[in-house]
Amino acid sequence: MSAGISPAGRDPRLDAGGGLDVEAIRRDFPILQRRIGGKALVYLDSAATSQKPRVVIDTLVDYYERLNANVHRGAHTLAEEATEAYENARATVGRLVGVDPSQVVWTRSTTESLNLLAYAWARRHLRAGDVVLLTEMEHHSNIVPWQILAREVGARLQYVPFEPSGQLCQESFRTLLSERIRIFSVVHASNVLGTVNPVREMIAQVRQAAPDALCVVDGAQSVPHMPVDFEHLGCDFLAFSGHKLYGPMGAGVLVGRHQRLEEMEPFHGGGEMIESVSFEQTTFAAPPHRFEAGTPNVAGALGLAAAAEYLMSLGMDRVRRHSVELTDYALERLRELGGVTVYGPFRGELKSGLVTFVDRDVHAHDLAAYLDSLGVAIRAGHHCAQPLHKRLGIASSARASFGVYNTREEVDVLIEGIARARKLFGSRS
Amino acid sequence: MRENSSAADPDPADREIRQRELWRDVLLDHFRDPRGRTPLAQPSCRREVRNPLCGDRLVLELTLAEDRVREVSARARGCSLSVASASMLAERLPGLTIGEVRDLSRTVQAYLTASADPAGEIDLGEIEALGGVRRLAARRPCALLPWRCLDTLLGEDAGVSNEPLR
Ligand SMILES: Cc1ncc(COP(=O)(O)O)c(C=O)c1O
Repeated sequence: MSAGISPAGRDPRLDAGGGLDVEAIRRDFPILQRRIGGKALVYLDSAATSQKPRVVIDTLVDYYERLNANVHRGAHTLAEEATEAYENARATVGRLVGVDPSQVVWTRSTTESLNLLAYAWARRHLRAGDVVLLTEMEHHSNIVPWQILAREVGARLQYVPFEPSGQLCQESFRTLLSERIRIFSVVHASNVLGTVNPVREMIAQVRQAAPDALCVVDGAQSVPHMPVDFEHLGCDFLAFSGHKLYGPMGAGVLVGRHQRLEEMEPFHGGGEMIESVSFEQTTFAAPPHRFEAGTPNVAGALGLAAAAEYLMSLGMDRVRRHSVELTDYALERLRELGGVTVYGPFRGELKSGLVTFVDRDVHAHDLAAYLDSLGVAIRAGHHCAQPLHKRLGIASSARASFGVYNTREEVDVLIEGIARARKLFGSRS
Repeated sequence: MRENSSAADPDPADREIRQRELWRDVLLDHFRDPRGRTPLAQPSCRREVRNPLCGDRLVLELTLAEDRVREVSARARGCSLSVASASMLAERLPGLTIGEVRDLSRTVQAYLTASADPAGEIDLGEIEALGGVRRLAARRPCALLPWRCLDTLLGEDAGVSNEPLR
């Protein structure tokens, strides 16, 4: 049966108790039928990229089969339909985080969104001696662009440390507050610790100390897993990636406050982003198109909108509840198992649907390779967060991360796999 | 799962996996009981490197005399592949001339990067058990680390260096 409203009028993917019917949801994800070396795929790497529901895949195919044309150009039927679909997709994705379509800038990814800010906003506004305030739990994509820029203009980077609990140290944060802060960029949910940071409260404090500071939220790991409302966060910009949100790769978003978008220079120059061009000069288009030079990833935008619709039809409250319950279950099973160090908060409610750990006996890479032979996909390494790992005093860690399609039984397979890996590797003298 | 199956006698499912995948018995033996872990009292040369991908570390020390390797200490901290590879290196090198070491290292690296078959003129012996990484590009740096470290060690005059490996 295809996903949709059942004859009884109830979406089969929602259960009566305010949660998700995961078995029904699993049928929406074709890849979950795959077998890896004869074993059922247990996909626990959604923080790296989520799997895609049938409706997203169909949207991509449908676009190329039925609609494909370049947008905002040419007055033929296909071009008009493609343009309309593309702009509707902007509105849909805006709805997911509560903003107007004019605030939604299409990018390739979180990484591109953050780079766009570094080059289009900060390169113009950042001065020698200014402070860019980040945290110690940032993904490389929220460190490196600022480092490049800070070096260029002579600005300083400062980092809010985190506590052994995996939460940002609010006391240190307050001591770092100053009017020198020009940019505050913070991860909403850490891709390693899972920690959901109190970004709303932190942004409010930054604004008190430095009213003009640009406040940026990296929503790569939060927008897919919990209700996120742009206005509520109080930030100037919110970046996220479609591919972690059940959408296609190569489609990302930068959501911005109108006034900030207006004051920002273009990122790339080219077609699509201009109002008029002469040989001498160019008048730039209004946001969001000003930041979308060249032929865009229309199929990707439509696919991302389909994913956003899919999530909204489940309801972000239910998505969040499932994520919290599964995380709590995984934490509990890891505690029972023993012999592992778990990083980050030890409560699902404080996390964004992942568990990161180091086994006492089995190296993370061996564990991941061994689990793969059981059909279980997890991530091992530094997860693009080397400074964070350095702070934890470890070189690498193992991470299992969850999506709407994961079950408790899959967590059980993971735990049993860890126990079995220990038998293979654990007797090292 | 069987209760009393020790690591030396894993349950049948594990054995099946282990044989099919990366971990042949020889490799696991080197991993569980690595050779050449004792630091040398007076190494002729020493180098410490890190695998930039996973942060694993390796300390490699050699004593050389009359153009031959006499003693080796290869202390790897990392995954099974890097530990086993270092152990195999430590076992294999003593007694070889510098020229023979260079030839061996070249052959091993060609084999691990899948650019050559094991049937070269040099018999790789147990080192062949690292061959699982030929299909797994992501894990190759782990198995290669000791050999690359060895190259840099021999590429210079004997001395002490802690530079990261690139
Ligand atoms: C917290 C966080 N920020 C940023 C990124 C970068 O996302 P992308 O690779 O899609 O640009 C990721 C993805 O790993 C992430 O987890």
